[in-house]
Amino acid sequence: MWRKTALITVCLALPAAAMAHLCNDVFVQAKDNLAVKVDVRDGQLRIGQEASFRVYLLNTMDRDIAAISLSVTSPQFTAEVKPDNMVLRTAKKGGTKGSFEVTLKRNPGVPDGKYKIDLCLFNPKNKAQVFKTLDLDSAAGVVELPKGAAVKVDGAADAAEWDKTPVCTDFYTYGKKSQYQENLPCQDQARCRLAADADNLYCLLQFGGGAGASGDQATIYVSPNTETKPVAVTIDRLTAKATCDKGTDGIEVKPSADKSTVECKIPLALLGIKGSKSFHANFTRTLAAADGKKTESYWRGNSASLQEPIVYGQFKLAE
Amino acid sequence: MSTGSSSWPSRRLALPGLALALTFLAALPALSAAGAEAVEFELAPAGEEFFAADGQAAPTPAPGPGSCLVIFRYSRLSVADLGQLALIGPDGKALPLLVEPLFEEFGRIADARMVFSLPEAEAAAGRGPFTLKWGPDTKGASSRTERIAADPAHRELYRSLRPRAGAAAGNVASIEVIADSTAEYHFLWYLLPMSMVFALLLARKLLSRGEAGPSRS
Repeated sequence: MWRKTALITVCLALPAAAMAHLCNDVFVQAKDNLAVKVDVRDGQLRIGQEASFRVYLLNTMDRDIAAISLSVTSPQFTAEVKPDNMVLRTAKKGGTKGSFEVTLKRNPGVPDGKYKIDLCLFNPKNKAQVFKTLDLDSAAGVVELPKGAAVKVDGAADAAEWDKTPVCTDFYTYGKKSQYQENLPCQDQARCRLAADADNLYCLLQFGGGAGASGDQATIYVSPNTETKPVAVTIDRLTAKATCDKGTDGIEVKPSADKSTVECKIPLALLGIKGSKSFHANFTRTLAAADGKKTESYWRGNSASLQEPIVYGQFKLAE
Repeated sequence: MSTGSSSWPSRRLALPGLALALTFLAALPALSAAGAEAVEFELAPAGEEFFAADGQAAPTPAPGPGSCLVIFRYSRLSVADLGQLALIGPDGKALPLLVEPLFEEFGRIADARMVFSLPEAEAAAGRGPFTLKWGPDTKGASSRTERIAADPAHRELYRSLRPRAGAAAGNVASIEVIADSTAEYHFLWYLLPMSMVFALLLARKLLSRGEAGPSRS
């Protein structure tokens, strides 16, 4: 009887131990692969007595999140979050984005002013287990593009044209740590800068490394919002050619003499953002070594989320 | 009336000038701020990207006895002169920093791998903040090196830096909320410049009608 009891206890304990280990790993993996977007216009919420906003989530890891909850805390506001928790299936297995709706009510006696509210994503079954997501820090951030009317597409990275533009870098690839995916920063980084005028989006692409490569391409993904499927424009720095499913009318590409830098111009209308005040963008780089082996690196998201603008960065066109 | 007619050219310049000034003042909140010149980090385990084998023989620099090497990379610099780059430790003192420039842009270092030494006893994960600062008003103890390479045979002697997490425990982020009793009417602020211009133009028209009236009679 004692042997049976011991055997049953061990059998019950083992899955719990395994689950605990898995639960801890998923919080580490979620650091870079749980996309979070706070739907607040211009990154700033203005509230009289009550206001609502949404927090969108997309799981781009290689496994599901069994339960996730959102807490919103602030001494100045009372927050109500719906739903209490949710299951987030991985996009790799068909999972779609989920959202929490947050309603904030100003507490009595709170004067007008600027305040911070804290957002925390955690495991509802164990509040000490907090999801680590760097995206949450910039989830409501919107980057303003300076007007690029002065950009001349000549392959030269002139400071006067590009110095004030935002830079998108810190690309990463994916590897395996134990049995799950791990983000690995690229040794050879790409740097992408954006500018815009009334008709065109200008892009400066700077390719680090890639010596002896048989192929080296950057792809720009653009969508007017988080719902619309993005338009992808691929720029090949070695051939100085652009490809796009919507055609290449109006696209200009000019590399530098050493082909490490490419300037390009893409009509806003082709990207579907003409007349839009803001858009969402993402970048990838596909580097093919001399032996033909390809490595794909990402600015945001991964292969499962490339078509999901919720993981992209948000940019505002100067008015 | 001679007084009115002789002051009219100055009035013509004053009204549009005033309208422009009002429009500029209204647009001031929309101007975006300049890029950051300081970033806070905390200690973290050194990632695999610092131990990638590149065929070179000796790690540079080598960790001294009783110390760790903290190796990190930052790709959003804008440093024209290494003397204007500093790493400030948790005690507020500048730490000697070796810098391997990885990418230069517009005549400035934009991306660099950096390393500094720390006593092992002070190298616990999460310790910070370590503040990387750069700019004309910054003076640091930074010097250039051709190559920084970590020794994969002694990973325990290496640490790295990661951007500092939120102030609260766990991983909590904040967004800014503006409590504004006039929030429901805030959008009317954007109508103010146009309203002022319209009012000034209307006033100008009424004044010019008033001046034309007596001369006709």
